[in-house]
Amino acid sequence: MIHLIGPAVLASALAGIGVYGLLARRNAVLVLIGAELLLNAANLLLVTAAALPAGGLAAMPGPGAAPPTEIADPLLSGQVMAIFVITIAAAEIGVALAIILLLFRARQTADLTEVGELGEASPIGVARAAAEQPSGGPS
Amino acid sequence: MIESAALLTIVLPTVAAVLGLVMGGRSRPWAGDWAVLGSLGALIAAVLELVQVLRQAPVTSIGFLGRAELGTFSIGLDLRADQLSASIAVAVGLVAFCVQVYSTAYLSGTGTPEAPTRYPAYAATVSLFTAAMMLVIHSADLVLLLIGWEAMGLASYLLVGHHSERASARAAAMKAFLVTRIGDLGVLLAVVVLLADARTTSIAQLTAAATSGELGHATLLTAGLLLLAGVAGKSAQFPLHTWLPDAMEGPTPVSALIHAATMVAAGVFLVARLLPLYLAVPGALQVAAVIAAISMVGAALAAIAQDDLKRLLAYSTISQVAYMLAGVAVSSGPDGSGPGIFHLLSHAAFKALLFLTAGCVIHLVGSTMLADMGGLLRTHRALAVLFGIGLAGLAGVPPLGGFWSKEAVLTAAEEAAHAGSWTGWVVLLTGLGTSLLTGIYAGRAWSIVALGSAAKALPAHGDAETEEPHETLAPGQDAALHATGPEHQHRLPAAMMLPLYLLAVPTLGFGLVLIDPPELLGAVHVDLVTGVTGAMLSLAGLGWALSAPRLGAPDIAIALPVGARAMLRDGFRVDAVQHALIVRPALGLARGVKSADWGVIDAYVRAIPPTLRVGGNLLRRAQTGLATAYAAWLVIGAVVIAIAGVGLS
Repeated sequence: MIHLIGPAVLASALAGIGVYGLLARRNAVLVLIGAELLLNAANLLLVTAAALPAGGLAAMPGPGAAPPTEIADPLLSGQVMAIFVITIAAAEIGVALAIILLLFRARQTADLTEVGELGEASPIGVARAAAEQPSGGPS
Repeated sequence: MIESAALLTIVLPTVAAVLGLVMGGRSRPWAGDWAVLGSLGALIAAVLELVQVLRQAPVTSIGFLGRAELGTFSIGLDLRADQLSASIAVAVGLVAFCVQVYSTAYLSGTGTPEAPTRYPAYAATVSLFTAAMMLVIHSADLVLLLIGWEAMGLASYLLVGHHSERASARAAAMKAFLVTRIGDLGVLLAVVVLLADARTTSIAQLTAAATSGELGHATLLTAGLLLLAGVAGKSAQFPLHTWLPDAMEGPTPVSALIHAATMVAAGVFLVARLLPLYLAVPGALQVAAVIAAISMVGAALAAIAQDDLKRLLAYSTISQVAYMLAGVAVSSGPDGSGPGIFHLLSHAAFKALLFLTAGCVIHLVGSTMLADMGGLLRTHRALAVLFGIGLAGLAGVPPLGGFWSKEAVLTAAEEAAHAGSWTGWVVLLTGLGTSLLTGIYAGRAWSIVALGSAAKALPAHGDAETEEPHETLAPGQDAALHATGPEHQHRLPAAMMLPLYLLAVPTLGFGLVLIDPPELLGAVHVDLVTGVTGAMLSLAGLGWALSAPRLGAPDIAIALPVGARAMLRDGFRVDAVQHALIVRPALGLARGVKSADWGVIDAYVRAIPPTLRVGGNLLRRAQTGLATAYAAWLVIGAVVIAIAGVGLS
């Protein structure tokens, strides 16, 4: 019986690293890895919550006490959901990597800041297009 | 026989109007033939009807449009034929026939670029006008009468605005329509009031109910006054007379039609038709008499100072219709409408003659201004004599028809006055005064047009300032006549001269009817003293005006002070008063409503596009195209949901 703090801190660290990767990286593969970390943080929390005793946090036994005989969720739905998440994440990885591969083939880059065409109509996109115009035609 | 004759008077002009409109666009002569034939048929039918009606009793119910079932009311849209309707139908038919024949010449050709003529549409509208008037005088029911009444308003609008390229013609047509519309509203409301109380609109039942006292005094007074508003509108009496002088924008034959037989006669006819109803409420008749007295004198005064021949004749019409209305208004018994109707019939003849002659003069001179005319007696003697006959009828020179009818009205007024009626005195005194004024303006018109100096008269054919179309003659004929030089340039076509001779006959000899008067005119007689007084007054006026040329000035109106003359020429500025009191508030109200609609109701609708544009600009900033930025929105959303979940649990 390990203490609850361990998985909770680990999940928080995974989520924080995942958000950082998602928002701060420019390479599409690294952004994808950030998203995977976020998913795994969620998985860890699901599995942890599924192992809680009946009565929730208040019924947690103290250090050295006997482990509880009965857990909160006898159907283990937390673990089932973790399996679902893993499956969906695998599918997501397949689709996302295929997109990244095609992007790289087309542009010879996986840098997300280089592929902002969908924002052409926004002021930012317009400003960027104006800034790129003198440097030559589209590559 | 009577039934079919009465029906034909309405149906034939209607058929002519429809055929002329549908098929007349292809060929002008064809349209003209239809119009002339339609009015000739109506005239023959009217004469047949009159002959029949003089022999036998009137028919009060001729099936026409069946019955209109309106819930609790059943309105019989029937016709009636009696001496009143038949005699006016003959006058209408005669004038319409003359006008149609005259118009074939007067409106032939294409006109000037700024005033092109549309002869087929014109002739069809005149036929429609005739049919509407025939319907009004033959209606046995107020609702059917109202239908004809409104159709007449429409036809007059179309005809007055015939030269719709001219802004003044459009304005005059709109004015004629709107001013008579005010009166028409009165007629409509009167029908509603009578229907609510008497539960019938049949004229025979209404008059019977009014005579037997079944209808309340309040109902009768309300209905009588409301009908009087319609009469004032259609017959151009005092408060609503302003459309008539402006209606001179229409082609001159139209003026003849409106003034002689159709439009203005309808009002007097209505009072005569509903006389039993009016006799039950003397108040309404007194109002009618006062209106007539004001119109009589005012219009005669205004006619003296007019500098436009057609406007002069228009004011004389207002004055003469006032005589008719006064003649009906002073009556004391159910047959008292005789003098007024007698004057209506004789007026139809001489006023049609006057307008058609004036049309010839305008056609020759190319202007309607009196200042451009003169010397007609030397250049066109027959025309000048015909014009003189018309003016003598207008002034009431014995023994013309106009003399007998006018003195009959005055005699009726005198008898009412001696019977103790104050309206009789009012009508008698104003009538005698107006006789003098009528003589003056009739003499003035003749002395200017017929005597005058011919130096400036009769400019070359095709003058640029011509107001009326006068491309009357075929091109070859035209050139041949031009070749004879400007002095004796053109004779008038026969189609324009023959109607004048035709109309001169009743103008001269209408008094002969009094030798053996029909039942309708049974009460008509002329008192010797009144007749002589009236004739002396009008002869004095005539002589005074005719003596002006010998004193060096053809225009007797020069004797008036300048200010008074301008005042009279503008018709006592009634137009300006009405403009200030009615037109400007109405326009102000319209402007207020428009700005409220635009500024309040429309504002909400107009606010939608700017709101959407601002919102779109705001939302557009979120669409950066950076995948990282979208992910940031995702994270922010997740955080917000998490905070909300923690906070709410």
